[in-house]
Amino acid sequence: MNFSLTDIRNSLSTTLEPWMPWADDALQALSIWLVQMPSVVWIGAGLWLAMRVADRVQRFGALRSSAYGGCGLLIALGALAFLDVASLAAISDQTQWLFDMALGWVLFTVGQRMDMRWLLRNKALAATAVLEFVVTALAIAGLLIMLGLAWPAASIAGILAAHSSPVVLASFMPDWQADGQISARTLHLSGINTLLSALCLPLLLVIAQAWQQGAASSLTGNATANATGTASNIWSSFPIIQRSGWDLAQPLLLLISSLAVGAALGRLLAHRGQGAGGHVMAAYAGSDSMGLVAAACVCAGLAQWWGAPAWAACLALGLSLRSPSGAAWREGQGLQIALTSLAQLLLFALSALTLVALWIQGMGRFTAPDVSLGMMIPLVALILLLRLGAKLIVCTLTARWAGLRWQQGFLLGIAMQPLSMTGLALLTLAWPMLMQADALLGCSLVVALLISDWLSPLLLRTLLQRSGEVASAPDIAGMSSRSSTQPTHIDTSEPSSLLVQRI
Amino acid sequence: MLTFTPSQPFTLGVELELQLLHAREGTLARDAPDLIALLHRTRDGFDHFKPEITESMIELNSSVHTQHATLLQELRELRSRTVAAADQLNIAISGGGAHPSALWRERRIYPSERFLHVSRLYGYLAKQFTVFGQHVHVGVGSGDLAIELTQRLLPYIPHFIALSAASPYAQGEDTSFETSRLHAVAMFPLSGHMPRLKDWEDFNAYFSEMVSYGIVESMKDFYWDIRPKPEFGTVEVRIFDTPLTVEMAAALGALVQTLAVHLLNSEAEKKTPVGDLATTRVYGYNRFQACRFGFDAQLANPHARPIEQQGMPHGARQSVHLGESLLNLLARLMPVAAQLGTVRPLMMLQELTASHQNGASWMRAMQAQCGDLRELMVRQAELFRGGKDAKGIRSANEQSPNSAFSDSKREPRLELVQAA
Repeated sequence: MNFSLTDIRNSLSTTLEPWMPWADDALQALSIWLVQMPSVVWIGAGLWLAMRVADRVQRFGALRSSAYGGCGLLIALGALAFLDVASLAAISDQTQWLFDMALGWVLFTVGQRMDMRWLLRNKALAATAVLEFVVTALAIAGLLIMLGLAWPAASIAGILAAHSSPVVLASFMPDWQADGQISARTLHLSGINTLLSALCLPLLLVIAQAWQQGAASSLTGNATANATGTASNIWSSFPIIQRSGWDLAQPLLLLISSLAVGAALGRLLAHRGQGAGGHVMAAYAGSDSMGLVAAACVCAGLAQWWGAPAWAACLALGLSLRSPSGAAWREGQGLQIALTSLAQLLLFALSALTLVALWIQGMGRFTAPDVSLGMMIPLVALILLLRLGAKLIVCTLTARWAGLRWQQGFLLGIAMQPLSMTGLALLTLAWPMLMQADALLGCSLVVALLISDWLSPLLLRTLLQRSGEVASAPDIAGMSSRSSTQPTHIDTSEPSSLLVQRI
Repeated sequence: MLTFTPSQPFTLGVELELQLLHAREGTLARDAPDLIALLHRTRDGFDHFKPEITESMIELNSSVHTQHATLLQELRELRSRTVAAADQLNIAISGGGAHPSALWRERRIYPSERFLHVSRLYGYLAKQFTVFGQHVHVGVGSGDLAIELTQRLLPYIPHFIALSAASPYAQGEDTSFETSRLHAVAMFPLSGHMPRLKDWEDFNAYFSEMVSYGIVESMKDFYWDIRPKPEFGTVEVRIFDTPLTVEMAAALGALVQTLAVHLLNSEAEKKTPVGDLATTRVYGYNRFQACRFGFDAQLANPHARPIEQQGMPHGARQSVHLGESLLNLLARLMPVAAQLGTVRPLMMLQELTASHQNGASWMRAMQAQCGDLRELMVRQAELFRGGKDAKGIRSANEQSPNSAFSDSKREPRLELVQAA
């Protein structure tokens, strides 16, 4: 891909050569200038562009997220015309903290909306949360193994593809004013799903790494054993046992500590709020909201400090806290909505940019990109269809048991399709391993995430409108249909002028 | 022409309009269609659980009872069923006359033909009508008696308001009223009280006239505080805020039943004229007093003699303290209550009146404790659930002696009212 864009640049300068002999020099200078430009300028310009485009597309009834994602994609592709892969990856790295902050904020709001007591009261819902994840992961991993992929890569792909992201729904809920069982359950199920993925993936990565090392050493060991004629140690075929306990426990401990720091900070803030009672609102109503933002930043920073996932800490913080109360809530609402909108913009634009960078990086490993692309399309279709089917079946079958109609269960299964944002965070974690094990699969997952980025908001809005949880148009009752509701018996025998006189 | 279907006299039935809340946040939820669907799966679900005008409310209907005890038993059972179904949907169920911080624009009309028609007709009023009341039906033997009872109950409306008041907050603020729910009802053109009518025939003539103008189509179009209900053969008292507990709801039902027996059977009451004009003249003012000051309301008494005292305006009449009047009424009703088996609920009401406690005072005390209206609603839902019994109302007040309730006593009062 990078080669073809570089070719375009070369052919452009060759074409312009007769008329503008300085064109090649100008393009070179522009490239150097662009690389030297501080990334904050690019971020600002990109955000402004995305915002303006989103304003335009919204007038035509399209979703703002499409404009954000589209701009991110365009910026990434445009940059490739002038920059090399390494520079694009560097920009992507430089903007990573912005993506993390936005993701942390949205997951904090997810946590605020989640009620873990519900899962304790409604056991069927808790079972659905686990079942849909396990069934989808097993189905995808099983199929990939059947297709001949090695189990570590297939399992990692299974977990990544089984993952459902709550971020898309959470970042649009304030705009859409979505409220109802489908949106509430989607948020809870995908929240649990995110936690399960975050627990399983690091553990699986350690096991997969150990297996790869074990496989490599057993090859060497077998060769040595054959040469010396001694029996090989039976335990060497189970390399995971050879790993130290710390290697295995580390990712889990990091995640748990990340959750713990969020929960502890949340409890502390909640306790302080309770102790202060109603008097805490007296100073400035917006302080509570700003305090929450500050808490989310501190929480994410602390988690990052010791290498734990920051977004998990933010989710836990949200779980322990409700949004500010009373007047503070109303006053601070503007700030919270603004932050969620900004997070929405950053997430969609930067995820497109990062995904393109990853994809280009992955594609660079193939000698015949066209063939790889041809193999990728059915693989992506298969993954997407399988996860759709698995989630649909589980959610529909458990619907009545969990207190819904089966039709609602069906809709819930569709609402669980968004994959992006938290999916990207998980993919980044598994990316080196995927590149090592199966680059084609890695690139296919990137494409699946890009498709999800684009389609999920549209899918969710249509779905929630259909289920009645999002109003299709402002429905202030009676404003537009006054004539149809007037009394039906109107006496027309008397001239209206006479009636007026009487009044 | 409406036909009155007679029913067994003084039987009793209760309708409770309940709030659906997000369990964690205490804000109004919009899950009525799902909750109704779930409740309709249960035994007799269609008879006992009905939708209401917006998706944030449901109506719970009791069967017909002759005794307070059986009514209470059934209300407790229906509450358990509602709460169990709501748990599956992560909704909390609460009593109270209005949600303290709900905004009308966020409400959604329940998708049924009748409610959509009301919404088209009344515009934003329909969404503003997300308020929660208790309706008590008392059986009567004929249409004439229904008209008589409807008018004889009218002077007791302030007493009912003070006892049941449970909506002191609106749109996130303390309204300084004991109940703000009735303002939402008052905006409807056919609210207030039934006009003075002689008998059922007279009522039918009035109804036909209203139909001929196209103002009403059925009895449902009258939003009166008390109205006859010909298809059930009852008189329906609609003034109560939904109480915070089902125990209080059953007690209010018992009060209406006992009072109805007293008003229609007592020789002394029979001697007084039906549909007194002076009572209807001061009706609006007394209603306001009860909404604003609760048990401390000073009611205009058209039957009081003018006070001949220096410094008083000429012809001024002594007003009636609502709390005292209510205690007198409850004492007068005790002999009838003994026959009906309603002594215990009436004694409970006496106790609450004597200590000036109602749902509004509980809410204010609780708000003073937790400082958060949404936390208040979470606790209110716990109270309705039966986690705390009705005595919780008392304990909350005792814990907060400096509640807004005691502040309201210090506010300037109208001690005397001019004769009409």
